[in-house]
Amino acid sequence: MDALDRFVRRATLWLALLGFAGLLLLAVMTSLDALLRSAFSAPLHGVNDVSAVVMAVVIASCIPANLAQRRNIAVEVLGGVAGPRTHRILTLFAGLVVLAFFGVMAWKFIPYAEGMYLSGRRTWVLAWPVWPWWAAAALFLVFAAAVQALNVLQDVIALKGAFADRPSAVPQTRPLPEGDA
Amino acid sequence: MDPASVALIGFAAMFALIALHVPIGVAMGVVGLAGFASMAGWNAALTLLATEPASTMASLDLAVIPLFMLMGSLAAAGGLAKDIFATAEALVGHRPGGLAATTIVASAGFGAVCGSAVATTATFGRVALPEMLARGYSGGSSAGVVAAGGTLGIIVPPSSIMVLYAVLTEQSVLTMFSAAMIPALLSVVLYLSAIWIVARRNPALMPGTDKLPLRDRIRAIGRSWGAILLAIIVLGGIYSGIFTVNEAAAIGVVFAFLFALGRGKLNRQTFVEVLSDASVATVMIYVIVFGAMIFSYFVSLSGVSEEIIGGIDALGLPPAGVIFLLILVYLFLGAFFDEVAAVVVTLPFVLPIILSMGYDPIWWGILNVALIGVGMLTPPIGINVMLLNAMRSDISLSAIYRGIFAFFLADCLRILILAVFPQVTLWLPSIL
Repeated sequence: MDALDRFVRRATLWLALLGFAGLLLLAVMTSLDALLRSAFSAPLHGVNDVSAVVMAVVIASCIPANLAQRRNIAVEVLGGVAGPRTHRILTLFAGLVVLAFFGVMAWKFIPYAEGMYLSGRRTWVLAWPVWPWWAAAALFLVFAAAVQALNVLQDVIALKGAFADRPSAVPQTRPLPEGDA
Repeated sequence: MDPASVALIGFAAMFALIALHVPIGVAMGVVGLAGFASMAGWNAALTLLATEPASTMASLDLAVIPLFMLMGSLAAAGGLAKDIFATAEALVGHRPGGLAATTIVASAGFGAVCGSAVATTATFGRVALPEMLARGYSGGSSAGVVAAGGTLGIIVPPSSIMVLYAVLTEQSVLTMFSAAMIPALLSVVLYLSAIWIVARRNPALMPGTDKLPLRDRIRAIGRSWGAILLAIIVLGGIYSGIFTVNEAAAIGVVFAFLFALGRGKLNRQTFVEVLSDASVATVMIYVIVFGAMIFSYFVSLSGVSEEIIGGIDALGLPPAGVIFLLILVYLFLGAFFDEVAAVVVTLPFVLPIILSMGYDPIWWGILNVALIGVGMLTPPIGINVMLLNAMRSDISLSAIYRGIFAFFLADCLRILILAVFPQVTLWLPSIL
């Protein structure tokens, strides 16, 4: 279980890094386009096409890491006031809601990508087919839902440990991120 | 049940979920989905859960946010914050309040290359806070200065929250940035005045540094060439019309990357950290936008905004009274929510009110951002204060809140000026 957890979390990190490395490449392309256009009136064709399809994949690729690191903005005042057990119950509840949200989103993204395939939609300038990009985004969202399921499982184990009053049985969860309140 | 009642129940349910630790974006999305389904059916609602996130992820307007996030992370990794701090110290360090004034000026300068208040606070919590403590500043005063300076990260353009507001309200990002220039300057002047007053009243609290010879001061400006050039490229490119906002952000990313690389500050580990920080912070914003988009559909369909506008009309309050009430609501919300959440949660309700009273949405956007900045400093959960307390647990929350008090008064004055004189915000966009 621990090995699987480590593997999945490492995979989320690499996926996000890959996504943002793609964003860096996109920034280089956009810069070249802007500089060539303003200096030589010779823009690169289709940069906006690439941006529109790549951005969706970039964002989708970072969602699993965001969930793995539990970095969504949440107000955790109640749990802080009510004590560690209540905190764990609330964490589990919130985890289940997040799982439902991303699970349904991933489920609905599959027919969405399929719709792109069936309609044969292409980008305006480069005429790239759009569906592979959305299929990748859907795949990443399914992965994100799986990561969240793992989070929930971890929360269940943590809660069980807390109620068994065996602190050593409680797995380590990440500390609250700087951005959380 | 009539749609307006459903909307009010939905609003209460959203706050209940948020109180139960559900992330804000997810709480908005879930409630928006259920509310929309109760009026339009589950099929339509579930379709929204694919179409809205898809259009958000593919939006080229919103693509500016990850680019600015990446630029800010690369700028921090490249040591630009330290350069800006050294320059600001050479320029204003000898004045009353010395390093405190330096921190405010440097935070504003860093705000011009980083669009986030939390990132600005975290950066100067590492760069400026140890310097001030080492020079005899009290913990509360120094942390208070850093926390207040951090709010300049969202009021000095470019600012992620301004991009988000502009996209959600269908306003021009460029106009938002132009409108923020004078209020940002006003914020810096008022913060420096607050420091000057505190330092004059109690010089031991904020001692000044020695004045450097003119040659050294000019040399110190030269040390910040990277940050100055980056700000010129990004803001100059945007305002001159040479680049679009997206292009300027992309060029900013490439410049910050090459700068950090050229300086030898970007090894494999730092590069991974930069990408990881920027990606996770970006998704935090996108998840909130997913939820906000779905929630907005629900609110629009319910017609509750019209009911609220009707209710306000029935109260007979003058528009200024309504604005005053909204200011109080935002000060309250800002103390609980982060900068993005407070704006996004309220926008579907508040924007129609603002428009119905004939106010300019750009003016309200800037006032809104300024209000959120104040909320980030005020108890019980001023997020900048919490962050600094987490970074330096030896400085108590109460000490930081005491250190912030002078800046809070300066903020109140700023809000009053922005609310009473809309031309402070709207003049610059009108001539550009």
